[in-house]
Amino acid sequence: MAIQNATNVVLSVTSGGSKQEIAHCTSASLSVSMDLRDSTTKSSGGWQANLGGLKSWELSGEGFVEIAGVSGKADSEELFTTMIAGAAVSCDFGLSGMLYRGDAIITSFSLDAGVEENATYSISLTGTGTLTQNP
Amino acid sequence: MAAIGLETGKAIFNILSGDSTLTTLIGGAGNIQPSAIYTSSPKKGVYYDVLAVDNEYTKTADKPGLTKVTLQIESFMPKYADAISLAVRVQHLLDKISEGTYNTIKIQSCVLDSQTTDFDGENKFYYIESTYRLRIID
Repeated sequence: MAIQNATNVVLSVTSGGSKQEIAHCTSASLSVSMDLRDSTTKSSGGWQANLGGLKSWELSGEGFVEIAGVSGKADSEELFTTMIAGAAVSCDFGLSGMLYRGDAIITSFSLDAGVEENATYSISLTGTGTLTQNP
Repeated sequence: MAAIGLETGKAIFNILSGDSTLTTLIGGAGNIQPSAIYTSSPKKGVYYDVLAVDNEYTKTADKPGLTKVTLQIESFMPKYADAISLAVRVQHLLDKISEGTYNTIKIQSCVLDSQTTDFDGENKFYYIESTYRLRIID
């Protein structure tokens, strides 16, 4: 058994006209959830019953900031521009053989800069529409 | 390329040995050495040790482009006041040094983290231990 090295799991976002890995990425995550519809009745025996409801998904990522920009990668300045545009963009999460793909909107973007620390950025994306596994 | 933290000493020697005030204090650039005070004939001087190298990895396939180095510099002198003067001179040269390339090593920043004073009773030297944090880039 070979447990996957998480370093190889990346987040790619369509930014600057093409789908690119986010630059100097240090973490990436995908979260999928589903709302429940309460279907409890008088005959449920005192236990809540549920049915599946709306599904949703979110992506997030963090990385180091490079002021000059990073060729071939979605750097922090490109991601900010993409967020301000407000449109959904195609995203990939994972790696070959374990890939999740869908359209998402960047819903938050933040920069962090301490003293004698690496300047970092983080983004969050909320999916709009289907999340496809291994498209 | 990758930032090589263990080679930080090349830059430190380059910076310190180029300062005539400092080399006059210690009797020559030959007394700026890596960890060499504890020999059979200890001498006054500046001795440096790389205490830690921390590479900053990302998810790209590239080797780390940034390495954080913790460096200890010991300033040994027979007189207390001279040990202080020597450590102060080293601080003047290294703390908040301008970003640049020093003897092929690219230093993004260097800051003084902490200092302590002590006395080596066996060799009769006062010494100041100064710890610096450096960011080395490729």
